[in-house]
Amino acid sequence: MSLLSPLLLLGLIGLALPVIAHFLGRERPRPLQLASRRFVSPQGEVLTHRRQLRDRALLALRLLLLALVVFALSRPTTLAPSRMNLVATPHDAVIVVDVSQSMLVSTSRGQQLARAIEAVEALVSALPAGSRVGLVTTDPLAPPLPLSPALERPGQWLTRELEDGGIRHGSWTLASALPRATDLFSGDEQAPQVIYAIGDGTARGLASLPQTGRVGVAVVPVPIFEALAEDPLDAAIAEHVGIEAVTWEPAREVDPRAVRITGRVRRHAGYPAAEDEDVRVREVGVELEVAGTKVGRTQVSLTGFDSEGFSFVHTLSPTDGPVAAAVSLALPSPDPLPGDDRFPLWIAAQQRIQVIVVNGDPSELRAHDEVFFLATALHSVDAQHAFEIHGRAPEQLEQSLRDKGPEALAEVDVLILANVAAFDEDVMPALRTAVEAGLGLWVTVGDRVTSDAYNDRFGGLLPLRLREPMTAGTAPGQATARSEGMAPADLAHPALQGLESDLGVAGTQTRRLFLLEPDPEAAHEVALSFQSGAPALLTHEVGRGRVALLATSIDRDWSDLPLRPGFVPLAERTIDYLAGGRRSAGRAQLHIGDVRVTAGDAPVLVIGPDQSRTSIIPDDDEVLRFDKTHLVGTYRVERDGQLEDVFSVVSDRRESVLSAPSQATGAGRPVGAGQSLVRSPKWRWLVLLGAVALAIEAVIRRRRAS
Amino acid sequence: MARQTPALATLLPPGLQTALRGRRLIVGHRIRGVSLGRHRSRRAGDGQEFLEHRAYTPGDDLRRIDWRAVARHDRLVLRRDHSEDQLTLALCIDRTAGVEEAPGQHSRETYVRALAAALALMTVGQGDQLAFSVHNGVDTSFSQLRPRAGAPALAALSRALHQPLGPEPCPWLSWAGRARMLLPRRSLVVVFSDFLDPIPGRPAGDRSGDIEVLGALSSLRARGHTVVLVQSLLADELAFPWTGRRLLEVRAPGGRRPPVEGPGMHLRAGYLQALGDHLEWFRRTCEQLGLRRVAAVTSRPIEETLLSLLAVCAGQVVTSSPEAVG
Repeated sequence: MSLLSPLLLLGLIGLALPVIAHFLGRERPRPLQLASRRFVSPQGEVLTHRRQLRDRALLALRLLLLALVVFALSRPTTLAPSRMNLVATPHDAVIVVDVSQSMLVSTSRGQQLARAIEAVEALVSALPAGSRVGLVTTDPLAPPLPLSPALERPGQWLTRELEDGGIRHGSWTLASALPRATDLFSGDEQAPQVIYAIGDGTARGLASLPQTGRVGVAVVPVPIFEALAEDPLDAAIAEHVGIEAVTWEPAREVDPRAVRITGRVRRHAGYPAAEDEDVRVREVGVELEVAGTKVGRTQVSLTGFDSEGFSFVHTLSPTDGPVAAAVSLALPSPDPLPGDDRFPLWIAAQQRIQVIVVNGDPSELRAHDEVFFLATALHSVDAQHAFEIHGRAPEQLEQSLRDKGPEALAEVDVLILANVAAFDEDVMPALRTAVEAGLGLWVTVGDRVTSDAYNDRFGGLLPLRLREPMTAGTAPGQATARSEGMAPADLAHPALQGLESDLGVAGTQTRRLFLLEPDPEAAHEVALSFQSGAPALLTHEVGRGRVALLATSIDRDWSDLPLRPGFVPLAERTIDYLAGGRRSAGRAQLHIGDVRVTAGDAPVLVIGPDQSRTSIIPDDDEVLRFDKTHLVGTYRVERDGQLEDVFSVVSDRRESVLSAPSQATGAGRPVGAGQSLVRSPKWRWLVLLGAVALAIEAVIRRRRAS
Repeated sequence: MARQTPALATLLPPGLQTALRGRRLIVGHRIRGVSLGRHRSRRAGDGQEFLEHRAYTPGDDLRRIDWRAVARHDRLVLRRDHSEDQLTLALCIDRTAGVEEAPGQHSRETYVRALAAALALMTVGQGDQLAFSVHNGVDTSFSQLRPRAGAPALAALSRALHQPLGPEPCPWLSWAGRARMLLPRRSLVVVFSDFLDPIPGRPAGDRSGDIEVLGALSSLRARGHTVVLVQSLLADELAFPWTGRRLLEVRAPGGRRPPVEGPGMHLRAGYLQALGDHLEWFRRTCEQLGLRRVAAVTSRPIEETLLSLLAVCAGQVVTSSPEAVG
């Protein structure tokens, strides 16, 4: 047995203090001679205790208690071979602790986070003498503890933070925290530099560690069970359920203000894994809460460790703006991992999208009108509740932009420029400002569009710069084909997500189109492309707005696209996507610890789920950054008392998958790692002995008092 | 060569000396002196106050015939007046040692000596007789219980009051027996003591000792004595100002009772309750036994106490209660 703090044994000298204090501190009574002494009655026995040692057994017991305390403070330990891979020579160690939400899981030996802190203390106690230790957590906002020879600091700091509730669940994985850990090594030390990563086996924990670290810095994964010298299966985790995903969409077929909320609940296996015959069907209640009120409940049956879907349809009351909602699990018994049992989100009744169509080539013959097919598609039965379409002449829009600036389009969600000649230069700044503020812009080309004018006036608004229009079949080697086919749509494009089959525009024949100038640095996404590979419909984001460019006409002049069955869903989804700049705020979802970055030129106030208020001031680039997203829930962003934006913070669903940590030790072993001895603390037994002595002392004291 | 004893007047504070000027010691009852004096006597004599008429008998002093009465009754009637006799003041002073002096206040010793000296000076000054018995804590002088007049009596009292003190309690019962034998009838007996623990051997709550002492003193009334008890009380005894956590060791003078320890704040309430009960009982018992009582609280100006004492001696009722406890 050895003592970690042998000097503290000097505290045994303190045992003499009570006795010395008794003799020195005996209060000399003030003599008082009174003829009326007869009327003074003695009160209690406390005074005689001060004058003489009456109960020597009690004194001895109390001295024994003090001796136990002193001995426990000197931290007696025994040495045993460590199962951890530690560098056997003195070195600089930075411990990276996973404080993600999965660490809140309850095991048969306590909460995983508390066990991780015990693992930190065990690791530190096993470090060779002369080592220095620092600490980093996966919370980007938590300050690191720099390297220090005071080995007890990390454990003390973590314990204090855990008790005070100061540990936040950050957005970093263990791997993301490695650069900060590496920064703690100043680089000029000769001692080996090792990063010990302590966490669970989730994707954000040990499974995130890279196979190789920085040259000269070894990264050692330390599963908690190894640090605590346990068997991997000792700390069993019961199976748990969690909400895997929740999405919502308008349910216009039910009601204009109805929303359909769908999601999945997954049953996760614990470890050690249950035998197959033990896996019974599990009934789990799912509740929908809207604006703080439970409005719906359903039941899902989970057979085996799989997921099951659920769906709610809820009609919102006619109030403006998004409404905070949450889907939560109603479980008969506490869930080992409660962090994934609730999914907050914002929902909103679908407002009719305000669309202005600027017809650049009107015609008295409806079939020849530039926007005839588009207007017809948007007035279809399904879409008529979704869109409110207004026509505008180019000159009208230009004049309006001149008169009112960007305010002319403040109430407009999507502006469609259908074969419109380029606007004058003086109105373009207003249009650009409107787009950056969230306006959706769809540019379709035609005879009236000239590439030079568009490239000059629209500039960065377009996803790619226009080249000259080209007639199909005139390209070299294309002498016979007189038209261009359409390749299958890219269903991964945000505008087309959710389509289960092809869009239905594969047979489109395009006779004339604009080619676009390739730009590898342009951040655009192609939704449709011609069979030649040339982009047909592509989008990109400008500020908060979105811009789409159709490289051919939207009427029949250049293409038969409007005649294809996929044209209606294409137009509807494209407009819906373009309007997302105005409407998508409610759908914004962050993972816990993520940073919310938005554009803005004025301070805003963010109100968290705990009603905390944080003022955010834009930086020089007019970017607002909000990083206090460590609480799961719904957040409101206000500017000047008006609701500006909403978003929700959910936990990373990968955290729900609790694999055995033995499966996640992918990082490399440190150079020079060897068998080391780990100290096994024995002071816990002393504390137990002290508690027994305290109980005996209480009994003796009570008997003496009676 | 024996040290010369200071004169009795030196025991008087200056204010008290001033207060004594022009005052007389008067008793409220008729006395029965052995020689002529200034106090109304129960026997007939040459006084100023009418006693009775009786028929003339030959040999009576013709100067005492009341001619007006003769005119009314048509026979010789002799007028008889009350005699005016000398008063005998008997002082019994309990000077048991051991009481503490409080800063800024009189000690019980100086207070009592001043009151006793004032009464003695007034008595001798107005031609009355003085008898005294002083218990100094060592022994008790009974020889001076034979009344004397003039300066020798004052000198003897001064010597007795300047003797060193001892801790022995006053032998009340034997003193009362001697006083009954030696004092002339219808004397004024003034007893100075604290009367707080007159017979210390008894348990604290046992009042049998108090009853015995008061009974012995009241027995003096059988001989026509007027008995005035001057109960000397220290202000600290009444207030018990030690209210802190400081540990006190309360002792009785002369070690008559075992000491008691405790913080003042713990002892005070019980003490004040017991003392208050005792003083109230003492007052009521004195009334029942016909003993007059004056509280001499040392924080009170001594002149006021003397005036109260003179008023009580004169048979007046004093309503003020200077010994409020707490």
